[in-house]
Amino acid sequence: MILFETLLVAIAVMPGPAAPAADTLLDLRRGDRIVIESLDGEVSIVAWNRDQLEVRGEASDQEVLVRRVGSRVAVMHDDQKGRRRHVEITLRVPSWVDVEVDGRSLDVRIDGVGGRIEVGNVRGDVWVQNAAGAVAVRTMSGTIDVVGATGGVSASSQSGDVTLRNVSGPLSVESGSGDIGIVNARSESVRVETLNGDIEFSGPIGTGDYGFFVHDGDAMIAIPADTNARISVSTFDGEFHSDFPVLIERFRGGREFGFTVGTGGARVQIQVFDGEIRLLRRREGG
Amino acid sequence: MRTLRSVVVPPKVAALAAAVLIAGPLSGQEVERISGRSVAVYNLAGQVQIVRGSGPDVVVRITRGGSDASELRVETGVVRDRSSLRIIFPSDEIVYPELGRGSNTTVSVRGDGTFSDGDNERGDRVRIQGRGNGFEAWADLVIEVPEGKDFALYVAVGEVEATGITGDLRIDTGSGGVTATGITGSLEIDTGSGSIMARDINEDLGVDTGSGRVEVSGVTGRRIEIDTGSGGVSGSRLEADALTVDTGSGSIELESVTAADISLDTGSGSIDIELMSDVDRLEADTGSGSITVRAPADLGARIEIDTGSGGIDLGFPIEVRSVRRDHVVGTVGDGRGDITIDTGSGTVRLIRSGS
Repeated sequence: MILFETLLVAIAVMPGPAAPAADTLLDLRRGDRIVIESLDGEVSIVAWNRDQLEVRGEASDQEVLVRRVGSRVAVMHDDQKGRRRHVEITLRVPSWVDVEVDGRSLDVRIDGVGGRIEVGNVRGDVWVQNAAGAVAVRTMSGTIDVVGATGGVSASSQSGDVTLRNVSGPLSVESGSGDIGIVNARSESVRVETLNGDIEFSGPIGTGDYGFFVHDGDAMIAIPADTNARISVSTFDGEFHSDFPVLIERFRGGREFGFTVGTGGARVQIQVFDGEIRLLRRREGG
Repeated sequence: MRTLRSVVVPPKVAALAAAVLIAGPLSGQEVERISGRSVAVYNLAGQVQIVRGSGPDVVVRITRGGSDASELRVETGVVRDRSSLRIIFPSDEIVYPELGRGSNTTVSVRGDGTFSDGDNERGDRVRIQGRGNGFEAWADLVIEVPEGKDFALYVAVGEVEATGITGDLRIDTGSGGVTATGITGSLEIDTGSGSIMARDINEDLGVDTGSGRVEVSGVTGRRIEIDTGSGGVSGSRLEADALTVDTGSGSIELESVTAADISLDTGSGSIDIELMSDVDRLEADTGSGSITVRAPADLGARIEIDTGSGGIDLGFPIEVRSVRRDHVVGTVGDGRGDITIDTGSGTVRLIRSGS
């Protein structure tokens, strides 16, 4: 038997131009998942210390609905014809809740959420801070910034830049034509790929797998002096520069070679088809 | 210094005289003895054999050839501080059939019959051709050079072969190959056109040919220099303080090389060298062609490799800070010494010997 619980809340019912919405509060239970769907505009999601969802903000001449179906709590626009409307709303959510955002042209800010975060967007920028759970962000043409995420990050942008700072956990980042910057990452699993952009990575290298792939761009990889890794470099028509001398055991064809830093351990793969590879000594905290 | 001259009556004089009457050219052998430590022989056309002599003098055995051979003169005497023998050709149009149809060469000959010896005095232009009208004559020589001589041979057209000489030897030909074997003393060979082969040379070796292949093997000296305008160079068992090979166009293939200072340069052609020991300096440069350096495992050097289009294959662990597909700068082994390899187009291989 399926239990449907539906709550219809008008947060902006003033006729004419958008107006400040009334506060909306909804009690949440452990296991609930908040889904933002079919919204355009700006959404800010901030964790607070209450087990409630609060929706505040401005909306255009249509209503924003909060609808619970089982554990799924959807925040959506009430347009009978399925049209998307511009909204500017702020959600306050429990820190433990999972959040899913599905937008078309939506700027998203998420701060302090401890549950799993999934963002799918066509246009618009995504900014995530202090996430404790896994973060997955996909956008076609917006930038992605993730700061202080500790549960791993999967990020993909077709044409925007992706920046991760002070993140940890498994990292998988892709961009079609944007730059990717990963600063002060702590991870045992890193895969970074961009077609026509640059990659910058800095962080300690553990014992896992690290892959950096660029077709037409540069890769700048900064690792600590005490790194232990086996590093494989491949470049069809590019250059390799290192801050420090590296011993190449076998250099064949001028396009693929490998060397060991320290005692080995981690596996680092750097492929740049046409661009520059720079291996740098990472300064503490950089 | 004295110059002795004698004529040995050939055997079977009657038969020879008859032959001369019938065939025209003289077929007898004349013998000249040249004293002095420094001796030079000049001959515009004819084959020359240089062999080890036993007496105190250089002995030149002359066999004339050609329909006008009887008009050849043999002159001896000191020329520019050297005892000399000159075969005098009284014409500036000489026919030497050994040169072959359609071939000719021109040389400036002084009035005393000397040429090509580096003296700036110019002489008459003498043309030597394989066929046609002219003064048909040549002189084939067998020259016995005793130990300790400083001997020089100048031939405009003709093959030269030297064997078993102990002493310094210089061979200069305008057109004609040179073969030298078992020379104990410095050897300088210069030919305008013709292949050169030098084997078992126990002193410095200098080889220069405008056009022709050079093969050298078993050379031990302080200096080995090989220069060819067009023609490949191959060598094996070369030991020297300094080895230089320069060819305008032609490959360079060297095996079993022991030298501290090596310079290999070809305008177009591949370079392949096998080093038997570490080097202080190695430069290998070709405008177009692959370069392969095979070296012992204890090779140590600062290395710079550049190729305009082509890959780089290194069989030695190399410490680098910078690498491009076509450019590598780094250190191998102890890093002492310099190796520079540059090709405009071609693959560069620096690999361990035997791999």
